[in-house]
Amino acid sequence: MENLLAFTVVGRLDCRCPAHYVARDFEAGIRRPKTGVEALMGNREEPDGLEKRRRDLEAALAARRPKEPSNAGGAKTGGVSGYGNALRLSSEFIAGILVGAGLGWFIDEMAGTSPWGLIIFLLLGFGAGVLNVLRSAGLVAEFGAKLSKGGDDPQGK
Amino acid sequence: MANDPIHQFQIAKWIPIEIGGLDFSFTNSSAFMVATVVAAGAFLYLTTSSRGLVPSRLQSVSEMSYEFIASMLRDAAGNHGMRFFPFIFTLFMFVLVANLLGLFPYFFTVTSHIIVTFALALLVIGTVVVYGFYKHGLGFLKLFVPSGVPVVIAPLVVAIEVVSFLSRPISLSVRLFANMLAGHIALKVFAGFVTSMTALGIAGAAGAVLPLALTVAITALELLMAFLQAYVFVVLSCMYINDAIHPSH
Repeated sequence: MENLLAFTVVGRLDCRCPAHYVARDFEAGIRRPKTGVEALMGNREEPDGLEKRRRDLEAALAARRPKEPSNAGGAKTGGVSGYGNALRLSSEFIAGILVGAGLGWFIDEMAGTSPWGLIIFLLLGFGAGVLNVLRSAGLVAEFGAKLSKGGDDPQGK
Repeated sequence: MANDPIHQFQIAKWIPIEIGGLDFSFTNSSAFMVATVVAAGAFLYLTTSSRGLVPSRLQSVSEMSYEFIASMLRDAAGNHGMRFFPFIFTLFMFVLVANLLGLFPYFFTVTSHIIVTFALALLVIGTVVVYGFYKHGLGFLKLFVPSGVPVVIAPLVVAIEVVSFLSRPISLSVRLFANMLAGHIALKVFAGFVTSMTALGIAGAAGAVLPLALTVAITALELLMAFLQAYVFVVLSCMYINDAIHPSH
């Protein structure tokens, strides 16, 4: 019952909001228009300017929005539970370090530069591990996606 | 055997085969891989053989799994990615069925061995690398050079990106393997508590209710994990394949 009431109130607010979201004074200044079209035709001064700005903002936000869900999707792939997420992040980090250490050790074995390859690649592996974690948490752009131009979006991502 | 939680992961040679000094034995692991393939294949084949316009329950299960993977792949890699659908779907079904089969008592869990999961991950990364070079040539290497990085620190960034890329098969395989291994060990340890506590007498038997309840709960969790890990494995594979298709965004 209460829900229903709330819903109808929200619904009413919703359908009248374009008028109500404009500052009150402006609205008072306009004669109550019969239709929305007439309002557009009639006086397009202040309220219209505000309306236009609001629409522009809406469009700008909408243009920005697709990036957020795709990012969130990337972070969500770890699993529904925090447990899955924790395992995922830790495995990313450990994998980075392991690969760095393995690569350094291999290079040392090949080139005989005994401690240096291991040291340098272990540090690089640490960097890669941090990058992996940030990336899978959705805090850093994906591979090669940094500072992408806007026109590349239709390509699929 | 009774209380050793690791015993379930031991490889047993069922049919020893040796060719040229290499061990090609048919082990319990191979047997369960065959069982996985047969079970997945038979399920999909039999449930879709009637091709009812109004699907039966089982038919709708296989149709749902198809739709599920197809929409996920399309989301992750776009329409170009759909050429990898057979690969991704096979991978998903294999991992999922192997995980689920492993939940049966006395069954062997194929995915709890890192060599198996690592081979699967190498297959994915190999596909990404080969297809990336085939499709884009050397342009594929742009994957490692984020645009807009100053020249001074570019070598460092490239080195880190390369190591990060190489760590992908490791993290992909370790995640699946570690989840399966840890889950099965936990299950076995808690189930072992039940028997060893019951052996202590009445008080022990009363206390054994706790680990028994936990075992039931962990079994449910493992069921979730079996699905979740197969899903995660395939989602990440899709993302990597997306990199192969569009290396520079």
